[in-house]
Amino acid sequence: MALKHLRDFSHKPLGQVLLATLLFCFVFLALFMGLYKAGTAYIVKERTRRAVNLTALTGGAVYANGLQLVREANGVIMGFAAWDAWVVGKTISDALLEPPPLDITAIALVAEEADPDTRKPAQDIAAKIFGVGTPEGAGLYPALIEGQAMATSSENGLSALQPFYAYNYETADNADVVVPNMALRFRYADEFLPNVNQAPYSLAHNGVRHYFETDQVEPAKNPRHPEQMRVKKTFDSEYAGWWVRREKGSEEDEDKEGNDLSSHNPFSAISKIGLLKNYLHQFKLDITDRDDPPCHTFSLLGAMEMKLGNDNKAFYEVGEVRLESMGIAAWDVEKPFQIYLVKTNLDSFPVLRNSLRKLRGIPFLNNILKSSDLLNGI
Amino acid sequence: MKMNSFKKNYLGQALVEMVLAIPVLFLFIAGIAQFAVLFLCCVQFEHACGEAARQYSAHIVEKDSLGPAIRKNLGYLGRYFDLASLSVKIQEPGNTAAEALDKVRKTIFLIPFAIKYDGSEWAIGINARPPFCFGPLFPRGIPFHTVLQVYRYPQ
Repeated sequence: MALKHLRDFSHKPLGQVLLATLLFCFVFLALFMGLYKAGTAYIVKERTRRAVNLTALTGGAVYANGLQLVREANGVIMGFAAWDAWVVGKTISDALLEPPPLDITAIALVAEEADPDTRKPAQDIAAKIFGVGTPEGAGLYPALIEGQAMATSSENGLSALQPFYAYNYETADNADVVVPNMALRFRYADEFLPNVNQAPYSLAHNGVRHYFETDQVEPAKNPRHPEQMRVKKTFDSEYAGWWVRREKGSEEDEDKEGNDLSSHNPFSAISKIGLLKNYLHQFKLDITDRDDPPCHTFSLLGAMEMKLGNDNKAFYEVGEVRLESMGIAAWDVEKPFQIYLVKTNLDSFPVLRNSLRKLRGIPFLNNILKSSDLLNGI
Repeated sequence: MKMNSFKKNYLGQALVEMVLAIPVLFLFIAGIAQFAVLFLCCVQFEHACGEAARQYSAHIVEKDSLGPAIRKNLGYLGRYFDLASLSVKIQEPGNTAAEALDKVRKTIFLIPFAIKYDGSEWAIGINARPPFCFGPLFPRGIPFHTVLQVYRYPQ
């Protein structure tokens, strides 16, 4: 009955006008609601991006301060090392002056026994403070980086539980990524001796140098360093995507310069320096970069929560800063740091890189990955 | 006489309805446009503040001169703001953890050469001056407010 009245009413001009007005209002209300939600989400997304970038920059600033402290600590360690070297040198010279003349093995033994190793306490303290050689344990200073970043992320409105920090993820082993660290290790005396070039490009990780041929590298596409090369991302190696250093005296350089640098290198023969290198490897010296070219990055995945209607939404953003130190040895103490935001390249993270490689093989998933907001740029 | 016959005509009815509906429709559309401009302004404000903080961290601007950088970063949307109402206040961290860490940092700062990074937290406010429709509704403008914090390492 009521429906009949309504139908009759809707056939009258007044009813039609009312119906049209209702429809009109509904459409505009929906438009307003949509606009409000989209606008609010847009604002929160921008806030998240800003908060993540500022938190990353804060982490970078604390990280840079830490690297400067490493330089200063290296000054102390090298001071002790110089004293140790003087003691060893004096013992050897005394031994050489006494008859009968010593052979090379005996000299090595004398040096080994004479080493007072006064640098060890300083090295141990520095290892604890800076977390040298993680994942054995996070150091005090890396914990400060994490703490300061967490405080800043909270001040900038990021969700307290969400921030996930990644340390030097491009060159870190899986466990190292989440443990606060500064990608440091101790340098040994043999590293001051030049290497014999095996290929035009190389990188070092944890003190081991790996060589790459010209066809295994590609431009790193870094606007700050246009000539920087990296291992091809498609190259089947655990170092795919890592930056490489151009070797001085490589064949290409020889062609360019027209001379044979290696022939002028007094240490060019492996047989001559191999033993010496092995011997010197037992003398632990100062703190240096874990990787060469050095990789010092601080990244975070942050989220900001908001209420959209009845739902709680979390907006995720990734931020990353790269630190360029130009050396962290004691003699680099006056050199400045460059701290800058970089476009995050998530697929450099070893686990992600391997997973994404497999997923990219599936066209449908590849399209999703390419258009994903979070994985933008992969 | 003519008018009366025209009114009885359906075409006349449609015209009257249209005349009544068009201002309402215009108001709705203008409202949507206003909302869109307001959201754009808010996003631009957030972006401008973030960019100014980034410039601070890159040593382009100083802690107490964030205001001019924000004004500049508002770009062409600056016309929708009451730039004189921009207030930049340097404040202490607002949560317990940050406050505690800041105290630790300041304490360590007493040890020379240990902690050199420094930064600040800003509370920034500005009034948006909406265009035509919202003007009479918000004669003093619509206030935007944000808080942000960043640290930097000396060059």
